[in-house]
Amino acid sequence: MADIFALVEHRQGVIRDITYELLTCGKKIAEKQNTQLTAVLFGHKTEPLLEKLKSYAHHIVVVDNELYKEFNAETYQITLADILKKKSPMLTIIGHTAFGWDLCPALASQMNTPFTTDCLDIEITDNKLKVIRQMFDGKLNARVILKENPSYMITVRSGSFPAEQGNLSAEIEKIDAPIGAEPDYRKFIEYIEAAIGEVDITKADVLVGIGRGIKEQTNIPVIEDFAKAIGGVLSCSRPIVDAGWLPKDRQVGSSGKTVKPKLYIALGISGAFQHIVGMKASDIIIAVNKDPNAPIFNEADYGIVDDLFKVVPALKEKILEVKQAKG
Amino acid sequence: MSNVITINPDIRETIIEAGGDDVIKCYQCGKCMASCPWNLLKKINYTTYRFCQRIKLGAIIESEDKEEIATDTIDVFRCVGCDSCRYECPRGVSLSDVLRAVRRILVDFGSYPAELKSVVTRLYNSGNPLGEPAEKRTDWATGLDIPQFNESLDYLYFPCCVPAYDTRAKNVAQSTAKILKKAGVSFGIIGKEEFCCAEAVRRVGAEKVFQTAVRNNTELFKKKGVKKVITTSPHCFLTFKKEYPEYYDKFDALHVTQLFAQLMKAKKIIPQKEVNKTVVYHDPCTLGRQMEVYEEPREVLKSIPGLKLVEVPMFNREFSVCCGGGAMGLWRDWPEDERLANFRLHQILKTGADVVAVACPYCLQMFEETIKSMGLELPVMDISEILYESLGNK
Ligand SMILES: Cc1cc2nc3c(=O)[nH]c(=O)nc-3n(C[C@H](O)[C@H](O)[C@H](O)COP(=O)(O)OP(=O)(O)OC[C@H]3O[C@@H](n4cnc5c(N)ncnc54)[C@H](O)[C@@H]3O)c2cc1C
Repeated sequence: MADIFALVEHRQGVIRDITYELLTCGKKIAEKQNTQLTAVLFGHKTEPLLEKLKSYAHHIVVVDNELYKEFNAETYQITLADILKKKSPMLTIIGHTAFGWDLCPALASQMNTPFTTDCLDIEITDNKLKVIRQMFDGKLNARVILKENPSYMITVRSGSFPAEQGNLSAEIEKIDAPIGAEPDYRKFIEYIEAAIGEVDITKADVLVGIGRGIKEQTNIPVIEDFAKAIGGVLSCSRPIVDAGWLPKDRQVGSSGKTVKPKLYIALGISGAFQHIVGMKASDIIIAVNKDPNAPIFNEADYGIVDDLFKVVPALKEKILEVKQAKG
Repeated sequence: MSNVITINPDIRETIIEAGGDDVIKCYQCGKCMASCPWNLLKKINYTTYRFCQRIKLGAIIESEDKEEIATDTIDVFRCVGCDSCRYECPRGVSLSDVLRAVRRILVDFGSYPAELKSVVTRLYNSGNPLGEPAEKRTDWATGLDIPQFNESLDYLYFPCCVPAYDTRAKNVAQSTAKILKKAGVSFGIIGKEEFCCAEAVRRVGAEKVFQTAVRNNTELFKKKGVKKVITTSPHCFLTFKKEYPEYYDKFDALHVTQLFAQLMKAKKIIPQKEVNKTVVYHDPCTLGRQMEVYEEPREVLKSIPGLKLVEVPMFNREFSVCCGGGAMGLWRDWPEDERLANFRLHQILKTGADVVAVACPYCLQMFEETIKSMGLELPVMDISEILYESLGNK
């Protein structure tokens, strides 16, 4: 039975979390299939990276060359295609990230490999690959069965396979780069960092929404602190933007952003419908409001009727406690 | 904008076919621009009179430059359909109809403002712009003991989606229903099977969704034997009265303030409790200029003991200034210095009134929420709420 391959994703010298998730996922499949997991690493001065990866795979195939210092989907495609042709793994897994989106479709097409994206779960039975992926904007989970083939390729959604500590000791195989230079038509130029303050609240898992109940601009840092402590991002209702306390791109609602975080904590927000339509699809809504009749409580899964300035510190303390206990 | 315009008859014909035939009547006198509320705002220069000419030349949204298209699109979707231009136009051109035709084409191509797109989608999927479940459409009536509409009843009460679902506006539907009950009016509600009247959807150009709504509601009215509909929103009133009959004309509609006035004349309701407040009445554009209901709301207010009714000088009745909520303005936002509600509220504040009376759920929402963001405390009440209070109830 052929190997499972997982592609290592790294940026600016740091291995991305998704890599460990892919390796955890790959190892599980390999165990079930009675085969082995190979991590594929393209990079430059890869020693420190190899050190970190060693315990996560049975083999590591590494191509170490200045060419791979930064990600370029073209060089990756050429190199990976070369390796896949030689080694013919049964399954190649890559992160469903900007990196994977850029690389995989063209690669799969070049290799003529059945390919599916954004998988949440994977199973191989009788040589057939079955995956679960979402449809209709996340409203449906669909089971997809790929056309039977000696090899498959998938991208995996981040967070679907929580990384587990590795316990293997990889054998390392060095391969020469099959090309000498980046192709002329596509070169890596530079990293552009997002300007500080620019956050995309639609991407956050945890949002702490503030409304007029916070009273003064000087109260924002306390809440921001709270948001950071619980791994969340600040968002707000329109009056906060009108007051100039937060930028427009933090506004949730009909004339702001529509958000669907896993957790939305509404602090001092009354719940006007223009606000509600922007956040009601959140997985869990917690509302803190002094007024027991505030409409926000109609939407909330959990409600706390109290002064937010009393609740926030208590909540923060408790959450940190639980987090610590969990390590 | 380039200096040379290429005349594009295809664009012209498409817009005219989509309902923009009024463009032909326009001779660019510019009165529409002078009467358009947007031009009352210092920051805005909304050259409304140019639309018709540009459409005649097929020179609207014809650019290939992204920024020019974006500016054009903002302008096309800025109009709130208040109809003050038609009112002033010597040739009766309704720019809001003309722009609606342009919007239909843009909506067909999916290129319209994202916040409007979400409302249209929500409305199409759930039958109301808030995206709330149909089952909850009569939650506001819990405990009020209002019968399901059936053929033996005189009126269907159609409260509009905002009063049906919004926690604040529910009070309007509740006050209305309580008054009607007190007056012994024979009425019922339907709820779940209703679809939003979709007047605003039509104005933003989502004609297909409007047609879906019309089909749903007219079938329902037919099936249930509805002959007369009482509406809380002037927007439902307008579309039921002027637009639905094109598809089904076996029913009539009236605005709740008209019914209140009738009931008072017939002494079916007698306001007794004093409401010692100075109240300014804001004419909703749709009820006033477009449906020409100016006096009934005033009659109701004037008959309330203790209540002092004042007017916004000059800008009342047909010269009322829009709250900005029409044509889905309720769901959009502009920078603070571009909000019609702010402008109108400044006019209203100058009257020194204690309460702003409205007769439209959009005006209610726009004013209440804008007052908040202006940091003011001025109660906004629907006429039904004031009337209910004066009937000796809280
Ligand atoms: C055209 C238009 C578009 C709009 N678009 C949007 C939009 O996209 N997004 C949006 O959010 N709004 C929008 N709005 C505004 C919206 O209608 C509401 O005015 C706004 O959401 C209210 O914000 P809020 O809840 O922060 O303030 P408020 O309604 O004033 O509520 C403040 C709440 O804080 C509570 N509170 C006060 N002190 C405390 C305390 N110490 N502890 C706990 N609770 C406390 C109060 O009980 C109250 O419920 C729009 C309005 C219009 C007219």
